[in-house]
Amino acid sequence: LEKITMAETRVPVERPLSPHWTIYHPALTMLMSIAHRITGGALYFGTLLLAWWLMAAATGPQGYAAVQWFMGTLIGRLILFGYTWALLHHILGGVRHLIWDTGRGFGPIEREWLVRATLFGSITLTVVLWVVGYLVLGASR
Amino acid sequence: MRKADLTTMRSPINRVRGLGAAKSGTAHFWLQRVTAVANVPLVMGFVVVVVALLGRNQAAVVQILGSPIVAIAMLLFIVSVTWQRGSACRSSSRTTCITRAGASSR
Repeated sequence: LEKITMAETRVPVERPLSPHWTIYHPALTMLMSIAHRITGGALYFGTLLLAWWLMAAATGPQGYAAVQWFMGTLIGRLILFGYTWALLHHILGGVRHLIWDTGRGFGPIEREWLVRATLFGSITLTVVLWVVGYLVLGASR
Repeated sequence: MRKADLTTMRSPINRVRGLGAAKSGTAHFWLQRVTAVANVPLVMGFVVVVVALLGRNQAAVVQILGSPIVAIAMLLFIVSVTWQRGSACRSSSRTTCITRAGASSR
């Protein structure tokens, strides 16, 4: 009789779930892992810009002038700035992964140092590259 | 053949091919590493080329991009980054596992 009532009430069973990211404190290593994937995905779409730029150069002066105009607008510059950071962040993150592939850098101090170096390096390099870019642009005029 | 190999359900030919349940594990692993290592100098070259072309007109850009060294570098850059990205869409997460182990110890 007990068995029948249990079957009829259909109480949901609380089964253990494997831990997911929502239960952990956000750590910098976790955020950098996510950032690596997001920048990688963004670069995929950034390749469209690269394709547009190269095709415009191959097409002729008019098409190229259109690309140059767009890249000069505020939105164009923001996209380019984002692309620069995504590219540098992803390549530095890639180097970090290659270090990890050798089995090194997994300790609590080393991995924190690596992700901080990735973030600091990518931001610094992006700013330096843009300063150099503006200097080149200024010199060419 | 080692004795341990006989205890697995995978056939020797399957082990040699390196194909797991995903059918492309080893190839994917190596593709990611080879393109990743190649991307380091190729990205640096790409950045240098783009900076060198800033502000130039179309004729100058075509001339520089058309020079053999620059053209080869750009071609290799495009092939390497798109090939890696196309393959990366199927990758599993390594760092998330590491991160979880690290974060849960806090």
